[in-house]
This record gives sequence, C-alpha cells and structure tokens, in this order.
Amino acid sequence: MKITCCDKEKGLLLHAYELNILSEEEKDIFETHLLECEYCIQQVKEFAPRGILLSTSPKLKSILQTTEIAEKSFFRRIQQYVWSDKLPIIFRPALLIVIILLMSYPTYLGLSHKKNNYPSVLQEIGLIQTRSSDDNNIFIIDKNKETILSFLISPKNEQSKLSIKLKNSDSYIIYKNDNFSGLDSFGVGHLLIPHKLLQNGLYELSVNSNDTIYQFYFNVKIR
Amino acid sequence: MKKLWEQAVKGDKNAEEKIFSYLRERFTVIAGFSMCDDDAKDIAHDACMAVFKGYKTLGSPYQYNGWAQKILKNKIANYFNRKSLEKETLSKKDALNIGNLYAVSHIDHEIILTLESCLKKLQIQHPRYALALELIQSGYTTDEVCKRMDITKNNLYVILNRGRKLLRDCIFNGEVKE
Repeated sequence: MKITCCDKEKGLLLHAYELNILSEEEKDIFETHLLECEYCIQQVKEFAPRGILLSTSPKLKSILQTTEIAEKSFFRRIQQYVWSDKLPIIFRPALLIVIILLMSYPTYLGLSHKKNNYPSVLQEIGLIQTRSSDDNNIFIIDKNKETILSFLISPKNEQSKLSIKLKNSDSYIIYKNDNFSGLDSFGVGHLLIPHKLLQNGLYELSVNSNDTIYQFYFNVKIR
Repeated sequence: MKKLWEQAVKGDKNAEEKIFSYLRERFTVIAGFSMCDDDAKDIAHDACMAVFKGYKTLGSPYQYNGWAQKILKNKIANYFNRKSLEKETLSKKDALNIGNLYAVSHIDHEIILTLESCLKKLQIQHPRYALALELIQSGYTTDEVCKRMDITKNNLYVILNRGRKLLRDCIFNGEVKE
C-alpha cells in the first residue's frame, strides 16, 4: 500500500524544512508532524543530506545563478525596459507607445479619407467605329475611376495631327482637342477622360483626320 | 501511536519499548539535520530518556508529540551551546549553521555530482524551483523570496515541493518527468 502524508497542510512544509528556511514556529510544527507522519519521516530520511546541500553548497549555487539571469532576460528585462523606474512617468516607453498609437489613429483616418478622393485605378473602353448610335454598345464603368477611350483609325494617320471631339447625348462638347497626336504605330489612339466628365448616357467621339471623320458611339453606365 | 502511549502510561513495558525505538529513530533523523550522525544518535538517545522520565505526568496523549519535539529541540540547543562555549558565544542560528556545515562535510561527493546534473535538467523543466533555490542559497529569507518571485508563502512551498518531487525522480530514476 502506498503511504501518503497524514496532514497535507503540514506536509507542504517538507522541502522548506529540508532547506532550513522555515521560521522557528513552522519548524516546530513540522518536527511535531514528523513524529507522527510515517510518509514525511521516510521522505526526510531518504533526502536528508541533499536538502542541506541544496541550501548551502556553493557549487550548486553557481549552477542555479544562471536561472535568475534567464528569468530576467525573459520578463524582467522587458518589464524594466517598458516601465523603467529611472525615467519620469511621461517618458516611460510603455506610455510613449500608447501616446504614439493614439496620435497615429487620427493621422491614419485623415490619410484613408484623402485616399478615397483620388482614383488610383484606370479603366479602358475599347471603341468600335459606328455610323449611328447603338443602344447595345453599353460600357459599365466605375465611379471615380479615370477612363481611357481607345479607338482604332488608319495607321497612315500616325504622324498627322487629329481633331477630336467628345459629345454627350445633348450634343454638348465635353472634351475637345485639335492637336491630338496620341496614335501608336498600329493606329490606335488613347484618350484619357477625367472621371468627372462621364455620366450615364450616350456619347459620340468624332475624330477628324485630313477631312475624314471617324465616329464612335457608345453608351456609358456608371455603377 | 496514541494507543501505545496510553498502554505505556498504564505500565506496559512492551509499549514503552516500542515508543522508545519509534521516537529514537525519528529524533535521530531530525537531529541529523544539524549535526553528524554519531552526535545525532547521542542527542536522540538523551532526548528519549528525558521523554520517558516525564511522560507520565502529561495529561493527554495528544500532547506527547509536541512535548517530545520540544525536548529534542532543547537537547539540540544545549548541544550547540556546549560547542559554542568552547570557542565564543554564538547565536542559536549561527550554531545551527555551523552544525549544517559540519553535517555537509561528511556527505559523499557523488551526491553533489548527481545533484549538479539534476539541477541542470530542472532549470529547464521547472525554472521557478531553480530560481527559488538560488534565492534561498543567496541568503534571502522566505518572505524576501516570496516578494521577489511575487508569490505567497504557500505558493513557494508548493513550488519547492513540486521541484523536490522532480529532483527526487531525477536522483533515483535518472530522469526529470514533465
């Protein structure tokens, strides 16, 4: 049968007794307990010389000293760093971090608000030459995004100056450029239209080159 | 044990002998903490004799253990007083410390080597025990150790006992269980 301590509360003093760190009162209590507890007296008897060594041997002390250093390196050093007693409260790193975080939040809000006002992405509409308006030629574009209108005319016009007009459904010219030279080597022109100019509705892009007029009709739907 | 005391009070020599041997064994272990084995045996014997001189005058068998412990304590204190008178007057605590050192000098060197290797393992498995031991070795009192480790006295004793259990496993079985 396994013997256990007859009084767990007093049995708790076992190792402290072996290490000789109990107060006189506690020592008396435990020694009295030793006279009646078979388990504890056996434990003390078995461990006896080691307890004294653990609390007195300088050799063992040198091994144990590294523990406190290790403990310090994990918790105390961090604690001492973020809440150093040497610094006035206002300059302690932990408080400064909190202040910086609190101050950076409005800055973040301001930046994110500003960011929303400026479109950062382009979208492209590829136009096909038509002679009349076509309700099926609908392009759904995003609000607040700059739009590039791409249109194809003859490559021989690459070097010549073009006259470009963009009209809305009321025949009102919303964009005009008489010296357009944005054709690439394939005869494709790219026209950047600010997002504020395009609304829902029918648009007509006419390109005049050497008395030849190219017309492009397209519908815009903004989402 | 209570029954044995009662029988001894009634004059049962057999019971008295059993108590005598029981107490002598325990007294030797307790006294052995602060002095060498031979002296501890002498002190234990003296304390037992003193117990048997006066135990019949005590009223309740519940008081015997506490009373016997006090007798042993006085015998140990007298032993160190005698020792210290030979040189100079020392406080009781100093005398006990001298006793501890005296006891240590008789310990096998192999035990120290085993303890060294086990403590190294324990530093990883149970660093709080190692820290508590280090503080105790550095001469901090129990209260100071508790303050430095930010724990209660009871918690310290629990940590020490748990560490002791692991240390014991390591010493006798060669391994530190998690």
